Amino acid sequence: MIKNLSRRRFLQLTGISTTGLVLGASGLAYWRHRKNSFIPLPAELPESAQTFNLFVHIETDDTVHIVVHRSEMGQGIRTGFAQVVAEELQADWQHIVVVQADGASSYGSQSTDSSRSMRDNYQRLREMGASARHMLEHAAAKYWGISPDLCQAQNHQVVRQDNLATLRFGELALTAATLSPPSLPELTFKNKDQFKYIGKKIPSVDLNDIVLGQAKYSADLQFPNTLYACIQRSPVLGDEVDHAGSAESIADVNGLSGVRKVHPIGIPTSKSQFKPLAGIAVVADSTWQALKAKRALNIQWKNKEEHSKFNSDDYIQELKNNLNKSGKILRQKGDTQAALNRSNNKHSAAYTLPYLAQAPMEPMAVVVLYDKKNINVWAGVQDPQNTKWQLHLHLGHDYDDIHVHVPLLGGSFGRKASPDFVLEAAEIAMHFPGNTLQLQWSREDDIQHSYYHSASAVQLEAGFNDNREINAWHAKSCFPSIAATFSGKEEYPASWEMELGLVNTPFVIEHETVECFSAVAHTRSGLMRSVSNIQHAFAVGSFVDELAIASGRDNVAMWLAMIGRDRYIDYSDHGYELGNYSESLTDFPFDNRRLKHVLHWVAEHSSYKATASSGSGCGLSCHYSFLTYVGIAVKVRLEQNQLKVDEVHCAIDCGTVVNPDRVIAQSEGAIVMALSAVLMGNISFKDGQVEQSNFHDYPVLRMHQTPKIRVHIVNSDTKPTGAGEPVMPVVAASLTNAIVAAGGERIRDLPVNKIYRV
Amino acid sequence: MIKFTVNQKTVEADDDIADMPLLWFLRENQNLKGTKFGCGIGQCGACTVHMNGNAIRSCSVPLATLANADITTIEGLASKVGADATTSYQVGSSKQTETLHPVQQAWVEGDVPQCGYCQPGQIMAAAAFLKQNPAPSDQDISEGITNICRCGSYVRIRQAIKNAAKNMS
Repeated sequence: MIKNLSRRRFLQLTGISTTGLVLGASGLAYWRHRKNSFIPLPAELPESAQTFNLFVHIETDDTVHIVVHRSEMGQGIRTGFAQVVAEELQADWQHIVVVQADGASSYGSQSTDSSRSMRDNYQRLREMGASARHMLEHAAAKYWGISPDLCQAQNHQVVRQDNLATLRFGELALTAATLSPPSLPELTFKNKDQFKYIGKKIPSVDLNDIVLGQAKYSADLQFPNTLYACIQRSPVLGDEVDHAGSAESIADVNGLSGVRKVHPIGIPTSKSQFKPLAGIAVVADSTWQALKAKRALNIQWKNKEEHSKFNSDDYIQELKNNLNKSGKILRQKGDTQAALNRSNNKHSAAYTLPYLAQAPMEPMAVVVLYDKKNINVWAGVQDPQNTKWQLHLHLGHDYDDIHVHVPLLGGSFGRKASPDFVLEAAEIAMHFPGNTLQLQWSREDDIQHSYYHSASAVQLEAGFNDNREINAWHAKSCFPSIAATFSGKEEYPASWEMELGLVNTPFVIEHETVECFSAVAHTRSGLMRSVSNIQHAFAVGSFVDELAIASGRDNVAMWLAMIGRDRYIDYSDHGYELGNYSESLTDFPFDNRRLKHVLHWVAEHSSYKATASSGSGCGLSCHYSFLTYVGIAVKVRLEQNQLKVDEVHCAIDCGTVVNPDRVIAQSEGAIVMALSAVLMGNISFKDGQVEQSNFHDYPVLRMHQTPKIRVHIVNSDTKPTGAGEPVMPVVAASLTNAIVAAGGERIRDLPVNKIYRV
Repeated sequence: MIKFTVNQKTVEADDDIADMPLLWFLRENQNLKGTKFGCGIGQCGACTVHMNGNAIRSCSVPLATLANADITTIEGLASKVGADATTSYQVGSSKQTETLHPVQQAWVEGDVPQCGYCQPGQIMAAAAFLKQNPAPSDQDISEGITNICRCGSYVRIRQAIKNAAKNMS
C-alpha cells in the first residue's frame, strides 16, 4: 500500500489549516447555554440575543442571528449558510441577520479553502436549525400546556395545531433558549420538496451594503488613534536589510513629515510557518504619508546566494528536464514501460505553466489594536483560527489574549490563507500599545510578495495497442511542493497535491504509472484557486485532444474510450488508496457517469462539431476536482494572430446546490480567472526578483476580453461538493484545444500570449 | 487651501497635502470608505468617483487639481438622483430602506457582486458611462468599461448596464 497523506492531514501537520486546539467533535457536542458557555460569542452579536446553539441566536423582537464561521470572499457563504439554517429553523428570511464568527476553536475548522465549506457544514447547519426549531416548539408546548406534537414551527412562529393559535419566535426566545437542546435522534428534517430556501436563488445578504459602498473590508474600519503602516520587503527570498548601508536613507525618511517611526523587520526566528519577509516598516499619520515614505527608502539588501540568481525561465526548463530523471511513483498498475516499448503508436507531450499570482482586488490590509494585554486583529483571512495560532507562535503572546475578527475579504483565491501580512502588522503594532495600527499592502507588494501558484511541468506519454486502444499511460509531474516553502528543502509534490488531477485521472488503462519529481523552491508558493489541478487538468485535457487527433477520433469519443464503462473509480486494484479530498468513497464516490454527463452536455450545447472551420473552433475538456464534475467548451476565433474567445459553455455537477445563483456566479468568475491565467498570466523572476509589479504588466481579464458564458448546473440530490474552485482548471485545455480546432498551433507552454495576441 | 465639494458638501484641504491623491483624502480625511484602493496607478478603477460628472480614478488625481471641482462618491450616488430616483428597495437582511440609483438597482437585480470590493468603482464607472452612452451596444460597453473585477463578474456587469440603460430611458 502506498502511503497516502491526505490533504487535510497535511494541512494539520503544517498548521496551515487548523491547530491542535480544534475540537474534533460533531456539532451537537458544542451545544451549551450562554450562562455556562464555552460558545464564543462574536463581538457584533447583541447582548440581548438568546443563544440556542453555536450558530443560532434569537432576539425577542424576532431577529434571528445566524453565525457564519467561514470567511466570505465572494463565494456567498454568508448567504448560503444562513439559507441552510433558516430552512430547518422555519425562519422568515426577512428576520435573518448574519453575524461573522471570530476565530475560535469551538467552531471546528474555519479554514475556508478546498471548496469545502458547504460540503463540511451542510448537514451540521441543518442540525443547528432543526435543534433551535425543536426548542422553540417545546417552549410553545410548555406555554400552552400541551404535547409538543401539537406544536409546529412555520414561517417564524409556532402554530398550535388544534386551534391554530400562534406564538412568534421572538415571544418564545427567552423560554426556549433555557431548554436543553435535543439529541440528534430527536431532530426532524425537511424533505427536498418542502424547501423554501435551499436550492433557491436568494440575493446575497451583503448586496445592499456593497452597492451602497457601505460593506466593510479590513481597511474600512475606523478606529480612534490610528497609525498607518507600509512595508518595503526584501525583493529576494531570504534577503535581509543591510543596516549600515541603509542607515542614511532610514534617517532621511525618519525626518519626513507625518512619519512616526521607521521600523526594521529582521528575518523572523519564530515557529510560525508564515514568517513575514524581512524589510523596513514605515509608520505614519496617514496611509499616503506611509506610502510616500516607503517609496523614499533606499534600502541596501544583504543577498543570499541561494535565491539571488534565480531565473524562472531557466527554472521551468529545469522542471521539464527533471521529468527525465528518476521520480517517485505514486500509483502503478501493470508494466507501463514494457507496454510503451511494445507499442507501435505512442505519443508524448510536455506542458508547462509559469508562476501565477492570485491578485485579489483588495490588496492585503490589517488592523491591529494592542492594549498591553489583548491583541485584537481585524483581518480578511481565510482561516481566523489558524491566524490566531500563527500569531501566538510568531509573537509568543498568550493564545487566549489574541482575538481575530474577520471583515469581508475583497477576494482572496487562496492568497489570504497565508496570514504572513497579519503577523507582520501585529509585530509592528506591539511597539504602539494603545494605538490602532493599520497596515496597507500596495498592489506592487501583492504582485511581488505573494504565495505564488508555482511554475510546473507535466509530461504525459501514452501507447496505443493494435486495436487502437490506449493500453499504456505514463503521467509525470514536477513542481516544488507547497511544503518546500515551509521546509526550505527540496521536496516531492505531496500525494494530496498529485491527487489534484493527476493521480486521480478517470481512465481505464491496462498499464498506468503516475510519478512525481522533486524541486527546490526559490520563492514562496501557496494556494491558488484549484491549486495543482491547474497544471494537471491542462496537461490531461490537452493530451486527450492530442491523442484524439493522432488517432483520427473526435475529442468526445476519445474521452469516452479512455473513461471506459460506467463505474465508481477507486484504484484499489492498483494498491492505491484515494485520498478523495479527505472524504470517504462511500459518502462521495468518484462516479465516472457524472463526468461523462457533463462532457456530453457541453458537447451538445456548444454544437462544437459544427464550429470547426478555418479561423474558428471549439475545444472541449472535462475534469473532476473537489468532488465536483465539470465540462467546459470554449469557442474561439483566430484572425491574423489575434485570438478572440467568443463563448464558454460550462456544465457543473456539484451535488445538492444551496444557492444556484451563487454557483453560477462562482462558475462565471472561475472561467474569467482561468482565462486570465491561460491567456496572459505570467509572473517571472530574474535574479531572484519578480519582474512584474502591477496590473499593467500582470494583466488580468477585462470586459472587452470576456466571452459570453453559459453555465448549466446538473440537477442532483447527492451530497453537496465544491463550487468555488472546480471550474477553474478545466478552461485551459478547452481553450488551447479550441485554438487547434481553429487551425492554430498546439500550445503546450502557457500563457497563450507568447504566441497569439489576446 | 484647496476648496471643492464632496457629495455636495464643501470641503477644504491644506496646501501641504496638495500632492495627496483624492482617494486617500476621501478615505482617511473624510471617512468615506466606499471608494477603494486597488492598484494606485489608475489601472483597475476600484477608486472611481465622479469629478464634475465624469468618472475619474481618484488614486491618481492629486488634491491640487481639484479646486472648485464637484466630487461624487458611491456614498453620494443614491441620494443624488433626487427626482430620478427609482422606488425604494430593500435587500436581504438589511433593515434600512434605500433609494438607489438605477445603476445600483440594476446591480441588485442582477446580484452582480461577488466579493464586492471593486463594485463601488464599477457602479460609479457605469453611472458616468451611461450619461455619455444612454443606449450602449455590447461594443460600447467593451470599450467604455475598463475597470477590473478579479472575481470575474463582467458578464453580469454588462447585463446590469444594459438593464439600467433601459430603466433610465
